[in-house]
Amino acid sequence: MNSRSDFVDAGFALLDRQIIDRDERPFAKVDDVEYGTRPDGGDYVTALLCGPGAWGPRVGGRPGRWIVSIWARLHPDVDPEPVRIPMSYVVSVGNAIKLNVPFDEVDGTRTDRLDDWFDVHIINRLPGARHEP
Amino acid sequence: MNPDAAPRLSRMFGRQVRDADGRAIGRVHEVRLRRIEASTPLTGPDFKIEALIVGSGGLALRLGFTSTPARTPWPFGARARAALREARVVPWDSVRESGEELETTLALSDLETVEP
Repeated sequence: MNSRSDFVDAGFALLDRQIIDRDERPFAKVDDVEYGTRPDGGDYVTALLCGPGAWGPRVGGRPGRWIVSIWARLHPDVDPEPVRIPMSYVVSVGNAIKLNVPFDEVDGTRTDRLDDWFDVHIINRLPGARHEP
Repeated sequence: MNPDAAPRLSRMFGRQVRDADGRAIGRVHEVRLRRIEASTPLTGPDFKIEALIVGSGGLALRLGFTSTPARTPWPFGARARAALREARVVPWDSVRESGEELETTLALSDLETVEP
C-alpha cells in the first residue's frame, strides 16, 4: 500500500548518487537506471546500474565505447553485464541511497573471478611467478 | 552487451523531441519521476516515470540550480530561471520513439511549463 507521493528528477535525485550498503559501507555510485513496465501499464524504475558497463554508454562517443570495451575485455564473463541492484534492495533514497543488504550479496560485485583472471593471464606469466617463495 | 537488456533512462538524455506538428522543441535534459513512498519503513520508494523535461531549463533542474537557489553561483541563477521558463514537460505516455529522436503526440501549445 502506498501512502504518499511527490515528484523527483532522475538526473538530480538518482544518477551519480552514492550507494551505501546495509552496514553503511560506501559501495558504488549510480551510473544508470533501468526501467520496465508493470501490469498497471506504467513504467517504473526497476534497478540501479553501476560500473563502467553502465557508465560508458552515458559518456557516449568514442571515449564511452573505449570504457565499455576495456571493461568487457577485463571482465571474466564472455558477455558481461553491469552490476544490477534491484529496487527491492533499496530501503531509502536521499542524499545517499541505502540498501538493505551487504554489498557482497549484490550480483556482479564479487571480485574473485576478476582476481582469477588476473592470476591466470598476468600474475602467473611474470618471470618467477611459479617459484616457491 | 545484451541487446535484450531492459531499457535504461540514460538513453533518453540528449535526444531531440518533436511535437505533433514535427517542430523540434528541445532536447531531453531531465526525466521526472513520481516518488511513491511505501507504507512500511523496510521498503524503499517506488519511482514511476511521469515525464521528460525538454529544453535547456531541464539542465538547470539537473544541476540543482532551481531546487537550491541560494547556493546557485550568481552568474547562473538568473540564466537558469529564465531557461526554466522555456522548458516543457512532455508526459511520458505521449512519447514515441522515432529513430534517434523522440516525438510527442501533443502540440507544443499543449505542453506545460516546468514548476520550479
